[in-house]
Amino acid sequence: MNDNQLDDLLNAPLIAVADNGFSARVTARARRQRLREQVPFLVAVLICAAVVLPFVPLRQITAAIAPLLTGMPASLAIAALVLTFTAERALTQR
Amino acid sequence: MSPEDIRLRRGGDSAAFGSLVRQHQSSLRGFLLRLTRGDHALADDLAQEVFIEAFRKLGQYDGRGSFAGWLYAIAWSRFRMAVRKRRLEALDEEDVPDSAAPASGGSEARLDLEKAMAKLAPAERASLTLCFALGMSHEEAAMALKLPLGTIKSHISRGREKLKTLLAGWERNER
Repeated sequence: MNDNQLDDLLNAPLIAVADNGFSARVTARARRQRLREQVPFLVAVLICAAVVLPFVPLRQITAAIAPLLTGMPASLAIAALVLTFTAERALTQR
Repeated sequence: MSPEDIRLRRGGDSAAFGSLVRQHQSSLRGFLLRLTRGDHALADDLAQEVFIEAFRKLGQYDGRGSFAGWLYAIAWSRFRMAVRKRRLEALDEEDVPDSAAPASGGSEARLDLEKAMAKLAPAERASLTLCFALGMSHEEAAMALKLPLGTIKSHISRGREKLKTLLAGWERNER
């Protein structure tokens, strides 16, 4: 075998491997893995919340915040946040 | 795939990740099939691990080299881990299985090439495959295999010489 023949053989692309559901299996496994990674974090957050909640003066906080939320400045701030988030999502998806 | 595409897919959207897998699965599995000397099951297991690792580390891909090169780098590292774990290369050259050649779709010459390839050292197989069949430059192959450029060049040169010796009878048999 001379150099040219060897080069021709080596340069030939690898034989195509049929997908046969491989991509779907990998994607499903990636999704499951992500979920598994997120669950411990969510559980930890819930446990922390459950521990802290009894000590939080919820009534007093609600009473203090309610008048602020119904006011004009708070409504404008929330509207600005929603608009920014929507615009950012639209730009990312484009 | 442009770096822009990769950036858009970094959001972790699994559907977008699926399209990346579909795009690269054939070449990656082909590369691993050659590294594992035709062991389809092992090549597919490793390919799955490569894609899962890529999914987790997509944020670390800086877009400087090609995305395929980045995938091959993960594949090479996974293959080396498997070799250490399963002592794949402890097999004698004579023990190379007949499945070292792809089951279908290859000419006689290609089947002979695959059998000869199976007798090369893993780094020689990987260097030759990346630089010839997968069309990467020597620099890209050096990055993917995390080897110095000079080492890649000597793997290619040594691998070619071995192949020429192993395939010496090929021309005669063809006639």
